[in-house]
Amino acid sequence: MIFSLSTMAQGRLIKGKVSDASGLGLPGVTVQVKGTSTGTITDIDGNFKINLNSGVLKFSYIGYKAQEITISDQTMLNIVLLEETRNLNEIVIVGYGTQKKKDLTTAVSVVSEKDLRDRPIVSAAQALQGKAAGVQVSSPSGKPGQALSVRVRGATSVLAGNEPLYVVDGVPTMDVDGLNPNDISSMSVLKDASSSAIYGARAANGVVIITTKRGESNTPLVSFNTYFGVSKLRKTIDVLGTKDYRTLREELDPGNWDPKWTGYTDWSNEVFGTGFDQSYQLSASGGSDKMKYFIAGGYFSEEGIVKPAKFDRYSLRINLDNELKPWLKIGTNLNVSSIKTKDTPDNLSSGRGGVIMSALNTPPFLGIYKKDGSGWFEPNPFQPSWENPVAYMEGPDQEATDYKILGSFQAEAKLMKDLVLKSRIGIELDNHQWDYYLDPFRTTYGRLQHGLGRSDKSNDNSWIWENTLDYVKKSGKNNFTGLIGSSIQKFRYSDTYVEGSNLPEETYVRSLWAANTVTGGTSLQEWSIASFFGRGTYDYDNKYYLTVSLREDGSSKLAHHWGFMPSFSTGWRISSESFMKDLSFIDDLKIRGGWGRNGNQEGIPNYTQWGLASFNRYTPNPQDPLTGPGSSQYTYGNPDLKWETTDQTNIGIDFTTLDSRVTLNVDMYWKKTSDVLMNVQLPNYLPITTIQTNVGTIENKGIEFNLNTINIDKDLKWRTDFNMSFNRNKVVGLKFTDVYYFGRVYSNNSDVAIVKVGLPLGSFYGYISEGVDPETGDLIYKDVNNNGIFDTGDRTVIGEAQPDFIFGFTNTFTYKRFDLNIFFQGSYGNDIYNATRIDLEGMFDSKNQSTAVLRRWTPDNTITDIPRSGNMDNVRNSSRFVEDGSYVRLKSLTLSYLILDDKQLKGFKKMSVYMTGQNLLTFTKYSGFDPEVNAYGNSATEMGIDYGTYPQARTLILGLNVEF
Amino acid sequence: MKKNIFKIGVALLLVLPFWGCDKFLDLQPKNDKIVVDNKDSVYFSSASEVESALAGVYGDFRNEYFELDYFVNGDAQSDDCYAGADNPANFQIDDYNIDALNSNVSRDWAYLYSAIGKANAVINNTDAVTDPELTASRKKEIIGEACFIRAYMYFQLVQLWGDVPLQLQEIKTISAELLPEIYPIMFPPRNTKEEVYAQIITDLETALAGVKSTGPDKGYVTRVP
Repeated sequence: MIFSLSTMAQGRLIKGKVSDASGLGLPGVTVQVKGTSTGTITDIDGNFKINLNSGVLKFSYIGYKAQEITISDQTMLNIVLLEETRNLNEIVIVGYGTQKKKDLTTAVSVVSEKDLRDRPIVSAAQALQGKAAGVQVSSPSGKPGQALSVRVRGATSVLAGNEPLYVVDGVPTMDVDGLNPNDISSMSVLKDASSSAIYGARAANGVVIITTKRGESNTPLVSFNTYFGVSKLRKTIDVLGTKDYRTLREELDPGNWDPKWTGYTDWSNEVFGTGFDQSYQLSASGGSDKMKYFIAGGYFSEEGIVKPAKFDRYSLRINLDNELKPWLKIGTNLNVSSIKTKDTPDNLSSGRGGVIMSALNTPPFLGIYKKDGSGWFEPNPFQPSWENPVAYMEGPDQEATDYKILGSFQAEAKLMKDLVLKSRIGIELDNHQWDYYLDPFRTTYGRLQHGLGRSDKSNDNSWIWENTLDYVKKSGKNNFTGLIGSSIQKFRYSDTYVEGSNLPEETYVRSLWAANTVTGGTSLQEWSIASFFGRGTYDYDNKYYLTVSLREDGSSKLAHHWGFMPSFSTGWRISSESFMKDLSFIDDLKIRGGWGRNGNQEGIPNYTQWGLASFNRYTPNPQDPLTGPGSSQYTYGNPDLKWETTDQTNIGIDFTTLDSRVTLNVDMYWKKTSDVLMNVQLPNYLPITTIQTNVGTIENKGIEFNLNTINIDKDLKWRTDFNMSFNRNKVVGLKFTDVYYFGRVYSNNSDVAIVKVGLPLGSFYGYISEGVDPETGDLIYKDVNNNGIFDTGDRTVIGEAQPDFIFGFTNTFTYKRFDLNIFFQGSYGNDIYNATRIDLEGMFDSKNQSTAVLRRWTPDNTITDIPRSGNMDNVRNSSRFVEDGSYVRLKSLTLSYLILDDKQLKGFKKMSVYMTGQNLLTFTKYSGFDPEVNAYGNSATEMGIDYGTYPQARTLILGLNVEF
Repeated sequence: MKKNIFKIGVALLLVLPFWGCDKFLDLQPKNDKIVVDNKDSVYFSSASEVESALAGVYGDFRNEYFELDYFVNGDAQSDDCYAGADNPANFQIDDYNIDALNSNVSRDWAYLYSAIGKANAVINNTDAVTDPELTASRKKEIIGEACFIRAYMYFQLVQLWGDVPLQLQEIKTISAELLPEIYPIMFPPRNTKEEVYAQIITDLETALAGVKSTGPDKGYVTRVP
């Protein structure tokens, strides 16, 4: 707003102060005589002076509700401005600092405590699903404790990892499994380069900043939360019973059926059971002006729907803030957790121990145990080394225990009026132990080895020391902040592994000193990072914004240690311009744009500059026994190896209207990742046949929408949060080798995933199936290369695992004491390669098959979609197994009821009960257990492949929250 | 004023002390040996290195080609036996239905050329060894044995594929900086069957002239005296 400076001339002098609800003076508030261009602004303490006899004074300030006062004869005015419901003054945590939401020039999504409340969330990553535009979170497996796959704006790398960096209370880490989500106060996802560039070389995949809860002065709070949940499999796959299986067997292998095989075991019933969840959390927080605390402890347990998978976590957190002197504050954060996990093997075929495939493929006439009372699992007469699923589940006794500590200690000293020095030390320790025991009796492999024992102990430690100097300066309408800092971090991983066989018959003896044959070894790896960074921000009148940040990172992994990551971003609050003042329906309109460079060195091996030779044991020549081990080189050195760098351009619009009831954020981005590392294939006459070097370029471009609306705000409140993201991923360049294959499918021993210039990552490659030939009963594959014969040149792209778009849709209704939260999440346009069906419909060996094979081609049934039995050509990788994996899922539905609030019972602040359903409804055409699974975990090249993967369950939870 | 300058000085000292950071980033491996690139110096520097390299060449007779695929290619294709277990690559060979993606075929190529690469290293570099423990006659024996094995491997290759590339030189090191230059020439074209057989005969003649007439057991190359 541009004012004429004729305020001094006419009228009575009116003085006053504008403050916020807490009494703090508000500087920069516009005081305008309505209908004119006369006015003034409040000073740093909120005071103002204006000359006016009569008229209307309008007080307005970004993020606050405007007020109008009719002037008659006042000389003193004290105005209190209240904050808007959609709070532009909300503080957002960004890299190494905070910004107000209104001042953001970069793409940041915020997930706050209220999005986590009353949703039983196991891990921090799970809290992000469907809540932040541009962030795709999927569960590759439903196994308890299994890591999620998090992608911020698409995958950029093949070998170097695609997960974002997590920063927990200032400590960068890649592992947040030990973090109790109940301790989280807010999460900020830094999506574009200019927001994450301050984290430089680890930030190419985005940064998730997690802040844990802290105490507030004079607000003592004790909180207790508990819940119980029950989980069941959402969908079953039907397989043949004994009679139909016999018919199939006599077709494939006539004359080899033993008439004594008449039993029946419903293997799916034995494998898929009921899962149980329980959680107990107790926390206390509070403090005085000088000392604040937050202490929380909890126990969480999840037993999976397929035994023995389980995940148990005990956690304890202590957050303390002390003001030792007016200029010196210290903070301590300590998180200690103990996690026990049991695994159920999956993503493997039924012959290799995969429980899910075994539940479907084990012949139905087999029993669980041999009928002779020996305790042996009943062997499969067709394949003696293939056990039944109960043998895979209960045969081995194994458990992993992790003790984790994540902590930081920070001191903050106010050196001068506007200059603050912060120093922080963070540590992360993970002590991991895994033990495995297979007895010498019940399983075939156990008998073969006479018992097998394995033990793995590892220590994964890191420490970080960071120092920053912060400067803040305001002068009139000019606001300036500056930051310089340095950081060093060191990582150390050590491991001890022992394996023994030929064990005693006493199955309670687990010590590997008792193994007659033993092998094992130890190893150690280290790496370190050092960085320098700086950032300057400037804004004029909350209208024009500029941020520049620079970071120089050094990594021990590369011979050329150092890399430079600059970025800048700008913003323009259009709605504050005078030419916009007539468009009063616009509360706030800001456009922002920026560019930045980030690096990724996460997956690079630790000692890449050297060629390395490993050692192997051999029986030495008796004449010369002390010559040491044998050695062979396994990698070539690459002293020119560079980081993968991602350059990203981002343009965004933030729009608030209808009295701040509608907020819309739109972002468009273009990411180019260069120097992508690949293992280039070398000829076979060389001792090492691959070399890892920078060869690729991958591009991601897209657009994200985030819409928050307050639909009704009366006795009934209704709020909607919606986000939708479109991303186009493409491999743009590859040097040397122009095609790579990944995703080896076990049963047909062929690769199904392809990486090639012009295709997105996660493309499927195979034959095009044109249906079953009524004459032969075999599949007709399209002759793509038109040469008249069926050959490998007929393969082509048959599907893409990347979605066209993903979305999240949350509606919250509040009426009196009831609160209803409905959260849908989905993905559209992604294909899934259902490799499970190869083992279920292939009819090429003794595996049991799904009921789909009842439709198979026979001379009496020639028009059908299932080919004849006994021909492996019909299960090559082809479009037969590519399915549409689009889905919409009712991810959670929570109904809570406030039993008591602070008015009813003295001492209690709040008591509420809630009921939540998770994964209640899934709308999809996909025929497998779960459209969200991937047998290859969070791989970027092997996406969307289903092969006996542990499915997610449908869960019903009942919980109680008490605060007092 | 002085107090402020002192404070800022301390702050800067804490914030920017790490100019000596390079040393912090120089970390060495603890599990593996660093292979020193010695493209200018000799390939084998002692008699025991040559002997252990020759042992490595013999060791290739225990790979999957000689312990499994040799029998699948021969006896399964000829109906002496059939392919069991669950590997579709074996079934394809048994059924005379091999396609271009068959993993047994690609691994056989890899195993045979890998053995040839090791033999090349021994054949081409043994003479240059100056260690007095390695006598001239032992050198002839070593080269002769390696030549026989190379001939045997090429005989497998020419029976399976006919025209195959003749690779008779080893490549000492590959570095990423050399890669753009040598990558286009690393995959040579096929030589004719006749050329391969001619090389096999030359190698056998070298072996005949060099190897011993008796060995410690049947696993070593010897000649009929």
